[in-house]
Amino acid sequence: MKGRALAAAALAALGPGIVLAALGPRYGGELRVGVLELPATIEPGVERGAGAGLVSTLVHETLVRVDDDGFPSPGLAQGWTSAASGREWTLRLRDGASFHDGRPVSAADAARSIRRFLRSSSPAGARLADALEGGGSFRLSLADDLPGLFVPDAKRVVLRFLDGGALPLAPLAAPAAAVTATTGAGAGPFVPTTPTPGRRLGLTAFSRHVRGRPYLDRVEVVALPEASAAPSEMPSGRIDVTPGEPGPSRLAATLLLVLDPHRPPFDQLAARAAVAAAIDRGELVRHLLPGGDAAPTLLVPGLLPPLGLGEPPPPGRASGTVTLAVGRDVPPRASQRVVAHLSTLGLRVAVVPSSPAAVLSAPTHARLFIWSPEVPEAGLALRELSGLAPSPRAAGAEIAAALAEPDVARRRARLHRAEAALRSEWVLLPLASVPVSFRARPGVHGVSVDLAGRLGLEDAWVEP
Amino acid sequence: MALDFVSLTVLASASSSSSAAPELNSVAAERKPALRAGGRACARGARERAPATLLALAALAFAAAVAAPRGESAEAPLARLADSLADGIVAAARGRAVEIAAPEDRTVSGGSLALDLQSLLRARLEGRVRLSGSGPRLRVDSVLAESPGRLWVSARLTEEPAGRLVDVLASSAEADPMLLSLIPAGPVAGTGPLAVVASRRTPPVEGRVLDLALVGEERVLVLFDDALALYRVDDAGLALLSRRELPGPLEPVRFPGGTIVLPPAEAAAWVLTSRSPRARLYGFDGGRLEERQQADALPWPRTPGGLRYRPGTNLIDAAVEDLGEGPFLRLDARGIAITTEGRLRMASAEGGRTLDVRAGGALARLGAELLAVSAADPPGPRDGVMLLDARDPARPAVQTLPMDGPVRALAGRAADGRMRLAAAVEEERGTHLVLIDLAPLTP
Repeated sequence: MKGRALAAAALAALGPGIVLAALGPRYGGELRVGVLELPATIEPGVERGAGAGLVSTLVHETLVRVDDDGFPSPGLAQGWTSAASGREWTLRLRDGASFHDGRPVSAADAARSIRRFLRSSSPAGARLADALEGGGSFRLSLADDLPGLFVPDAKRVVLRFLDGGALPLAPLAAPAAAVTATTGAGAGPFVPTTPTPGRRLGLTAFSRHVRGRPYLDRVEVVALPEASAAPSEMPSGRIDVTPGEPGPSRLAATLLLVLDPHRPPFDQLAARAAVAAAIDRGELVRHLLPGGDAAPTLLVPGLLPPLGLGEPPPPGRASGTVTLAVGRDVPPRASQRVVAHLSTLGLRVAVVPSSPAAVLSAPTHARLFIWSPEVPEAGLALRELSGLAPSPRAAGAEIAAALAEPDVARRRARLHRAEAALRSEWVLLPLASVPVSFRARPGVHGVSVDLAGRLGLEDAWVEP
Repeated sequence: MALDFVSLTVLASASSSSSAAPELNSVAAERKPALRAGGRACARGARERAPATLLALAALAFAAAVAAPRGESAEAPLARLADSLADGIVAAARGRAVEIAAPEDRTVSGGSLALDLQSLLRARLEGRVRLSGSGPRLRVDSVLAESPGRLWVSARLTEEPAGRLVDVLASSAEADPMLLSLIPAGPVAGTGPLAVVASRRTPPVEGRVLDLALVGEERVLVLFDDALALYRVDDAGLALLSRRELPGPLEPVRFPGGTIVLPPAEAAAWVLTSRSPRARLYGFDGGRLEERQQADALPWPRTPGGLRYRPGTNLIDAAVEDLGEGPFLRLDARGIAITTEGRLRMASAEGGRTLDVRAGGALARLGAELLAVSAADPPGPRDGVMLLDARDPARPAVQTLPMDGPVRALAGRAADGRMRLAAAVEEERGTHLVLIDLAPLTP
């Protein structure tokens, strides 16, 4: 109260000329962003982590984006039409869209990039391949022909699907689906200028970006030696934006514990249920994951409104020695608490620190990591989750049915059932929905975090 | 003057029969399945979405305020909304008594439109249903809102006292596209030597306003990012006299800039936006905008090369003899500019002098003595216009006029001791034009 009174007195002293106001976005200036790791390459891919996600959104542009409701919105494609009962979709490229090297973005570039995407390790690419005519054989390199993709002219790309499911274009919003020139040039809001792979990346504003030149003149992304370096880098002025709080934040990730059902003791349903029962999610969030959601489903609330977890599993015991891969971006105190819970069950736990990318496929008994979807759309996200561990057969069937369901209301109901099925055998254990947060120095505006947990600087600007 | 009226339940069940032919054609085509959801599941979905729909509809426009005054013609948008809503209520009532709750007003009318709607609705229901506030009844909770060019009403019909949702009705009416009605904008605070004689605002206008110019006492030019419009100001509102789309191709610019220049003694205006490299001269003899001429740059006093926008930005590149080289955010023809750092710069014999006065992105003259600039604080829900001494802008503000959102453009005029300030004020629901008439408190 005292502070508030002082603030009011200070405002009063400043006189009637002071009002709450709104200086508009400003062109110019630069930002230095610290991240925990930078990818070795700036080519479109499926690399994980804040650094890779940031580089992707800075350098590249996709044909289609996904809005906050999970629906596709225009990217390099300015619009699309469908025919043949939703089985054929024609995307029309924006007039004037161009790559960083000045060449116009053509339908041939888009088609070549889609072909690359279909053969990438992207889960969304796999989904698109499954849905396209001839996509499966093409993905497996059994055929080079791809009848489900053709280019009628320089401005249009046609995708022909096996059937008319809902949201068939959503996979094209994956970072791995970015459109690049034959030279490798991207079409994103910033042009990479001085890459030092894995350590530093300088970028300048792209004046011909499809949504207009970004406000900032320049962005520099720097790999911090370690997370603990961030707090000291910002006050020194060397970094303007870095992972952490307070700042732009979004509940865009899930803390996941994945148990390997093929390896003892987790080959026993009772042991997995015991782990699920032993971890106090509420305590984890209250004390160690501020801003999180203690009653999560596999997906964060923005993707699929939670319906609840259902009946908790019965308490039990488990024994044996297990290895636990822990992602580097999991807060250490949270991972320590999870290990403590496992130990109380009777398990001896050996922790294996891993990078955010490596932890997804670490050959350990269990994996603990922070997961955000490749594409922030519920159906694709569940399909991606189902690939992280052996899933119940019912879950696969529900996901496939949901992706093929054209009615959005029924699709949502099916997605809820699919999500519940994925959790049903205690292989994928969501421990919390956690916020993805970035701290920005005062005077930095327009920094955003999307539902895939990616930092957005396209609309960022700095006060003079 | 189209009028749309839908019951969401009816829409959902009707759409189920058409779900067999989804040939979609639009940018939002992938959304359409959501709207085509069929069968009872969809009807339930529509009901589940009802609160969100109410909120969404509430992001809306008004433009029909002129239709609101009591006793007006049945052709007015508000009256037509009341007609359609009454029909929907009668259909849903099925013999039940009806209670009309006070509508929630999410327009800028300050509640007067909602009260008018309630009165009109009651008048249209009398004799058709029994109105009652107690006992078993159908309760109507409505929200009146606005979007650019339309007035909307949405209503939840619940069966009382059980509280069961019976239906959700939504209706919209197109406003008169030729008239932006002006309604009182409420008292404008601010201590100073000027009195606010009148303060009025329009409903949200369609498009992004880049600059304004007052042409004589009765007309205002509005430069949008894709069009130029000329309005006549009268008691009812801003009547559209003429509108011209700016010739394309128009470049995408996140935050475009634009400038209007009125050549002296000529019924014409030069305009330039950062979405196009060409400046264009429009004449408006007889109230009709006609393009007369084009140029590579915007003609500007004491600026041999004219003004140009830096591509893709709102920054003005210019070398003004007494102000120096840009870029600038705004320029005033009589020798004041806002620098890209958000500071005022005054003309001087030495080529300009930057003052320690912060400003936002809007600037206008109010006669020879006053300068109006938008305030320069960081983003927030409100903004303000500072009135500065034009001869010495570094002095403390003469007066500050609070605004309900960021001020994107200003225009001013002074004659016979009275002043008029026009502002484009951006709010959640769109950009409003605000007209403020000022006069000295002491003659």
